[in-house]
Amino acid sequence: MGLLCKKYTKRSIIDLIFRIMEKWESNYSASLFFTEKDFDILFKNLYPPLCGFAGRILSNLSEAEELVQDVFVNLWLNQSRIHIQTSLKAYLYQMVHNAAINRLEHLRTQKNQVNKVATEQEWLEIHMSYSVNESFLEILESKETEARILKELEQLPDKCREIFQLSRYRNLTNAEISKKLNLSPVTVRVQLFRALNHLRKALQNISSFFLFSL
Amino acid sequence: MNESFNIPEDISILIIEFLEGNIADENLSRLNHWLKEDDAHLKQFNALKSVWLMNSKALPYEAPKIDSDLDKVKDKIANKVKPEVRHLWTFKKVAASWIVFLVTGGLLGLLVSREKTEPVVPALTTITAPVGAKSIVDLPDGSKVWINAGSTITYNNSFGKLNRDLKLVGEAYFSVKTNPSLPFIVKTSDIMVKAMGTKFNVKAYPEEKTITTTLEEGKIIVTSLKKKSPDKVVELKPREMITFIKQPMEPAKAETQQEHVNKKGSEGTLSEIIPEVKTELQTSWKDATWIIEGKTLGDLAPLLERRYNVLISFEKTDIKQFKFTGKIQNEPIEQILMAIELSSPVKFSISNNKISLYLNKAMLEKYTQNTN
Repeated sequence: MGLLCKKYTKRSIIDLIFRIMEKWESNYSASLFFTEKDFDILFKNLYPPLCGFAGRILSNLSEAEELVQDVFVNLWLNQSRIHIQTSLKAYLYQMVHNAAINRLEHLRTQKNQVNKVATEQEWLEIHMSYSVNESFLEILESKETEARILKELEQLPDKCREIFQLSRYRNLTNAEISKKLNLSPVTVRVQLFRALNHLRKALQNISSFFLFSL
Repeated sequence: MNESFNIPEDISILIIEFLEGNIADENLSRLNHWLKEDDAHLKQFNALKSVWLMNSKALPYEAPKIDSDLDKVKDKIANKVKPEVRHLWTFKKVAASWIVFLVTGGLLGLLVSREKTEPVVPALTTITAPVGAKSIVDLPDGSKVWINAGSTITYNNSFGKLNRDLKLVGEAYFSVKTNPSLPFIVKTSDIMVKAMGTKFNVKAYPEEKTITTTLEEGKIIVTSLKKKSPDKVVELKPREMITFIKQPMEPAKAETQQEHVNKKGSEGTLSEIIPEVKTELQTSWKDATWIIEGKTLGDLAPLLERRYNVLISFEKTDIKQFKFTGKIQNEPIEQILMAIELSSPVKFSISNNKISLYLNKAMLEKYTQNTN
C-alpha cells in the first residue's frame, strides 16, 4: 500500500497491517465464487452506497470512487481466498472502511503530521479495531434515520446543536467553529461529544438489534 | 438498554480530537491507553465512531456513472490479470515502424487481430465431468486434474498468473506443478487444501457426509473453513489421509453408510490423520484399474451410480452390509453386477439405467455356512 514514508521503519508498519488483516480474516469463513453476472449485480447495487460511505470517511468523492473500485477489483481477483461469515455487504463495507483508513494514513504521513512510528501504529490500530456490523448498516440505510436524527437534534440545547451541525454538516474544523462562535476549542469539543453521545443513545433505540454490540 | 456510558470528560475530548483527525501524539497515546484498559471502552468508542460516520456529510453520487465505473473496474482487473498482453501492446507502440519494415503484411495482420481479441472481462472457467464419465484437464499453470464423474472444478482467468485457486464440487485428483511462489489452493464447501507441488485426491461430493483428502506425494496443508473446528490447520505427509465430517443438513435424508463416519470425530471437524493408507484405494478411480478393498455394498453403490450413470436401489437394507474386494477394469456395469451376484447372496435386475438389488435366499444359506 502507499502508506510507506521514507523516514519510518517500514517493516513495523507492514507487520502491523498484516497482523490486523490476519486477525480480522480469521473471523470470516465461507467460500465465495461469483459469475460475472453476479458480480455486475453486486456492483450495481452496492457501488453507490459504498462510495457514499467512503466519501464520509475521506471527504472526497473522486478518491472515494477510486477506492471502492479497487475494493471490487480485489474482490474479484481474490474471490476464492476470501472467507466471509457476515453478509457480503458487511464485508464490503469493512473492506472500504479499512482501505479508506489506509488512505487517510497515507495522507497523514504525506502532510508530515506524524513524527513517530509508534504513534502511527497506535493511530492505525485504533481505527482498524472498528468493525462494521449489520445494525450499523441497517440504520445507515433506513429512510427514517435522517428524520430521527433531526428530531433528536431538536432536543439538544441550541449551542450544542449548532456546533454539531457546523462540524458534521458544514464540515467546519474545530478551530473555525471556535473562532466563529467565540468559544474555546475545549468547549467546542465537549459540546460535540455531548451531541454525539445523545445521538448514539437515540439511534440505539431505532434498531431492533442490539446496536453496536454495546 | 440502560448501559453505563460514563466516559471521563478529558477522554471524551480526546475522542473528538481523534475522530476529527486532529490529535496530538501524546494525546493519541493516552487515548490508546484508555481504550486498552477495558474491552467496554473500545466498544463505547466504536459505537461513537459509528454515529460520527453516520452523521458525516454524505457526498452525492450520480447514478449514470455506475456503468462506466463498472467498465473501469473490469479494465483494472484485465490489466492485472494479463500483464504480458499490456507489455506486447507498449512494445507494439514503440516498435511499430520497425515491424512495418521487418515483417510482411500477413504477420502484421496477425498482430492486429490479436489485439482485438485481447480479453478485458473477468471470466470463470467451469469444467464438469458428467455422471458416467471422467475427464482429464490440463490447467493453465501446467498442473493436471482428473475430474471424477459428476464433479466440477471452477477457476477464474487470473489462475496461473495471480493465483492458483480453484473450487471443487465432487471428487478430483490433482498433480500439481511445482511453483513455490504461487500456492495451489483447492477449495471445497468445508475445507481448503493448499499445495505447492504434489499429488493428492480430494473427495467432496455435496451429497456425502464427509470430505476426504488423501496425499500421494509431497506435502499439503488442509484447512477447515468452519470457525468452530478445533484443529483448523493440518499438514499431511505422503500416504496420509484426513476426513472432514460435515454438519448434518437434512438428518432424515442420508441413509447410506458413508465410510469413516463412524470414526470418533465429531461433526464439523477434521478427523485425526490416518497414516499409511493405501492411496491407490482413494485414487485408482482415475486409472484403468479401479481397486476396491473391503467396501460395503452400501458404500459401493453411490460410486457405481456416478461412474456408470445408473440408479441403484436396495430391496432390503441388510444387503448393504456385504463387503467386496476386487479390481475393476473398464467393464460394463452388467459384468460388475454379475460378479457381485456370483460372489455374494445378492441378485440384480436391470432396466434402462435403474438397478435393483435384492437378497438371493438360496445363496444366503450357502454363504452363511461358508463364512461360519
